[in-house]
Amino acid sequence: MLFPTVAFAVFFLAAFTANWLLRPHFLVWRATMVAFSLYFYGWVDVRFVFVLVGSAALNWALALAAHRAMPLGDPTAESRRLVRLAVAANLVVLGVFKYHGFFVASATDALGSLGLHPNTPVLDILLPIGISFFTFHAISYVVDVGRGDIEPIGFGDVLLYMSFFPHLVAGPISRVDELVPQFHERPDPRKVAATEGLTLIGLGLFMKVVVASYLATQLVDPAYGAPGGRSGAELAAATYAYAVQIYADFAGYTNIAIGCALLLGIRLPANFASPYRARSVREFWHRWHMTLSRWLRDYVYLPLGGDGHGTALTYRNVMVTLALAGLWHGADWKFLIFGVLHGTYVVGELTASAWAERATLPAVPQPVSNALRWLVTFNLVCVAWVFFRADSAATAFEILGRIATSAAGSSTLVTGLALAVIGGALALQLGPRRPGAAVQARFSSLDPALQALVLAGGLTLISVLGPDGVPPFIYFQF
Amino acid sequence: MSTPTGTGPHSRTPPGWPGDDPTVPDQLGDLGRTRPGRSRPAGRHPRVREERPQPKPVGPEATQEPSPRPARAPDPDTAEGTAPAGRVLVVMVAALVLAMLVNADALVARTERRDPGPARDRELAVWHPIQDVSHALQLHRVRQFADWVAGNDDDDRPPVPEPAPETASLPGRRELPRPGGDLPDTPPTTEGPAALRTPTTARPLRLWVGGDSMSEAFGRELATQAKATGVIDPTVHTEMASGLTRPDYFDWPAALAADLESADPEVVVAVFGVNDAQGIVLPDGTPVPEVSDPRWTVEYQRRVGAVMDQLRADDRLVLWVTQPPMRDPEFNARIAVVNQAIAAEAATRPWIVLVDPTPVVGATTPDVRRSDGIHLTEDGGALLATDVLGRLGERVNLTGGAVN
Repeated sequence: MLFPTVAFAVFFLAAFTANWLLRPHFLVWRATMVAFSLYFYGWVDVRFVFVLVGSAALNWALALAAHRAMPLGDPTAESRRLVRLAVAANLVVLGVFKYHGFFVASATDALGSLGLHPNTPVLDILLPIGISFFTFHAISYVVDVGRGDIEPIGFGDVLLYMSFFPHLVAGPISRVDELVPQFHERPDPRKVAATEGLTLIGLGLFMKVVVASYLATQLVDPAYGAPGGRSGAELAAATYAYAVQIYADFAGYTNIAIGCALLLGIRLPANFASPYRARSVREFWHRWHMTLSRWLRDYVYLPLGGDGHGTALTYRNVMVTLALAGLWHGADWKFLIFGVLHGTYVVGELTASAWAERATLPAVPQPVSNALRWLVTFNLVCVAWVFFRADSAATAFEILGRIATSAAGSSTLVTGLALAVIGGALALQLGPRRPGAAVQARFSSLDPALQALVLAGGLTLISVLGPDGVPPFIYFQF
Repeated sequence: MSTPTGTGPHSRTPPGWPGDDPTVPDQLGDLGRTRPGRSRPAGRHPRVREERPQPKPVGPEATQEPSPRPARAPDPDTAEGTAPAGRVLVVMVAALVLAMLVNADALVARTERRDPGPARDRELAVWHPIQDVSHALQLHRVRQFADWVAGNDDDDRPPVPEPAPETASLPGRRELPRPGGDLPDTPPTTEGPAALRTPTTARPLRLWVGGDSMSEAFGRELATQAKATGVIDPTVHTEMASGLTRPDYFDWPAALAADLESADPEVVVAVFGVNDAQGIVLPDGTPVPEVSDPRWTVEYQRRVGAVMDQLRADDRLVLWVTQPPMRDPEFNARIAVVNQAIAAEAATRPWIVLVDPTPVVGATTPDVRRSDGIHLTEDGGALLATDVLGRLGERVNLTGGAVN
C-alpha cells in the first residue's frame, strides 16, 4: 500500500480510530495494530505476511534462547553462537529474496565462460518490499539482547516492533528500546500531536508527489534515460536535480511515516536533518538517513573494531562499512562504487583533518571557508549520486565523462522552473531551520472546520501539481 | 541530543561518525521537529564497557519509571498543537471527504485509465457516486479552476510510467513470448520497397533513425556503424517518453514533417510503440483508456498508417522496427497489441519493411536490455544496429566507400 493514495488514507482513518479506542486495552490494541500492519503489508502480496511473521518468530525465539544462555547477564559462548545464528539466518533470508538473481546469474555466466551451460533453476521470487528494513529491526533486536543491553520481549511486541506499518517498508529504523516502551505507554487521547503530525504528512506528500515527481519526470529520467544524447550541462543539472529528488522522495516518505506514527501517539526517530547543508561528507552522513547511519555504526562499524585500533584499521573499518552500505542497495557494481566513493571521501577527510592539525595553514575568513567546504561537499555527494542513479556503472562513468568534457551544449531539458525548484529546495536546507513552526502554530489556532478546509485544499493542490499517477518511493525497492 | 560517541577516551567511533558531531544541533528534525532517537553510548558496546549496566527492560515494566527519552519530553511548540483524538478524526474525515468531492473527476479519470478488472470496477463503483455528488454540489468546478490556474488542460500531464513489478526474477536467458507473435519481417505485398541508388563517399546515403526511447541506444549505434561505412550520412532523432498515442505530449507527425523536409532521408528507420500502450483519445474527443478496447486498436492503427503514409516517397526505404518482448508479462501483453496494430498497417503498405528485433534483443538479459526489462543497453543497441545495417546492405550496395 502506498502512502499517497486514497486507499491508504481510508486505511489510516480506520487504524487511527481503532488505535485511540483500544489504547486502554493493551493486548487488544496490540493485536489490532499488528492486524492493521499485516493487512498494510499484505496489500501487495499476502505471501509477504508469512515472510514477515516467520522472521519475527525466528528472531523472537533465538533472542529468547540467547538470553537464557546468559545466566549472569554477560554474553557467553552459547549466546554468541545463537546470536550469530540469528544474524546469519536474517542475512540468508535477505540474500535469498534480494540477491538470488545476482548470484545465480553470476554463477551461470561463470560456468558459461567455462563452456558449461547448466539448466539453472529459474525462480520468480517476488521481492517483499521493505525486507531490508524489517531485517535491520530484527538484527538490532537480537544483537541488543545478545549483548545484554536489553531484555527480551514477548512475541507480540517483537511482531509489532518489526511490522508497525508507519516504519515497515522504508524506516526510520527504530531501536527496540525507543519504540517498544511507547507501545506500553498510554498516551493521553486528549493530546494527540495533530498539528505536528498533519503538517509532517502534508509536507511529506508535497515533497514526494510534487517536488520529487516533477524533477524525475521533467529532468532526471529523460537525461539519465538517454545520457548519450544529452549535453554535459543537462546531465549536470539532472544530477543536481536527482540530489533534490532523492531527498524529497525519501525524506518525504519519512515525514509521512513519522507524521502517521505521531497521530497514533508514537514518536519515531528522525531520519534527515537538512543533509545538503553539510560542510563535510562526515557531516552529510550525520544528516542523511540518520537511522541507517546509526545502525551501521552499532552493528557493523563497532563490531569491526571502530576506531580503537589505530589509524589504518579505522580507515579500513570506515571503508568496509560504507562499501557494505552501498551494496545494501543492490548487488551491482554501481552501488559498490557509491559506497566506496563515500568511504574514500570520509577517509580523505580524516586524513586531511589530521594533516591540517599539524600544518600551518593561511588564515581563510570563516564565511569563505564554510562556503568552499559546502560547495566541495555537495559536489562530492552529487558525484556519488551519479552512480546511485545511473543504470549501470558504465553509464555513470559515461555521464561523468560528458559532464567533464562537454559542459556546454544545448539544454532543452533544463527549464527555469526546474532550476528554481532545485535552487529553492537547496535554499530551504541552507536557510533558517524549522521554517514550519509558524505555519504549525497558525494551523493549530484554526477552528476544526477551517483546519479541514485547509487540509482539503492542500490535498487538492498536491493533486493538481503532481503527476498523473503515483510513482513508487525510491527506497521501497531497497 | 547527547553526543556520546567519538569524543571519549574509550570511544571506537571515529570523529565524524553519526551521532558525535557537535555541529549537528540537538533539534535535528528540521522538517518536522522530530527528535532523533537517543544515541547509544559508546560504552554500551560490551567490548568497550568497563562496567556492565543492567539490561534495560523494554516491556511493560519499562513504563513504571519516568521515560528518559527526550522524544517524550514536553515540547512547548507541540503542546499547543495537540487536540483530542475525536476532533482530529473529524477534521481528517472532513478533509478527506471534501478533497474527494473536489477531485472526483480526476479520481474517476485516473481509475478509468487502469486496466480492466475487478479492482478497477470496485473503485469506479465508489468514485462514480462521489462524482455525482461532486457535480450536484458543483464542487468539481473548484478542481477545474485549479487545473486552469495550473495550466493543466483537462489532464495533459504526462503519466508517470508504470513501475516495473518489483520481482527479483532471475535475469536468465529465457525467451519471452513475442508480443504480437511471429511478425513477418517483410509483409506480403505485390510491390516491393523502394530501390535505392548505390551511394558513394561523395554522395552518401541519407539515413534518418529515430522515434521513442527504444531508438536511443540503437539510433546512436546505428549512426556510428553507418558512418563507418563511409557512404551513409545519418541523422538521429530520439524523443524520450514519446509515441503516437499522445500527440499532446510530443507531436511526431509534425516533427517528422520537419525532419523529412530538412534531412530528406533516403532511408528511414522508425522505432515507435514502447510508450503507446496507454489510453488514447479519439478524433471526436472520446477517451479510450484501455488498449484492449477495439476502438483503441482502430484509432492507433489509423495513426500508425498515417505516419507510414507520411514516410512514403518513391526513392525512400522505410524500415519500421517493432518492439521486442518485455520482461513484465502484463506490459508485454499490451505491447503485443501495439505490435499487431503496426503489423496490420504495414501489411497494406509495400514501402514498409518491418524489422522484428526479437531474434537479436529478445531476451531481457542485462547484456542487451537495461535493468527495467524494457530499454536496450549500448550492447543491445549495437547488436540491433548491426542487424538493421545488414538488412540495409542486402538492399543497397554499401561498399562504394567502405573504409577498409
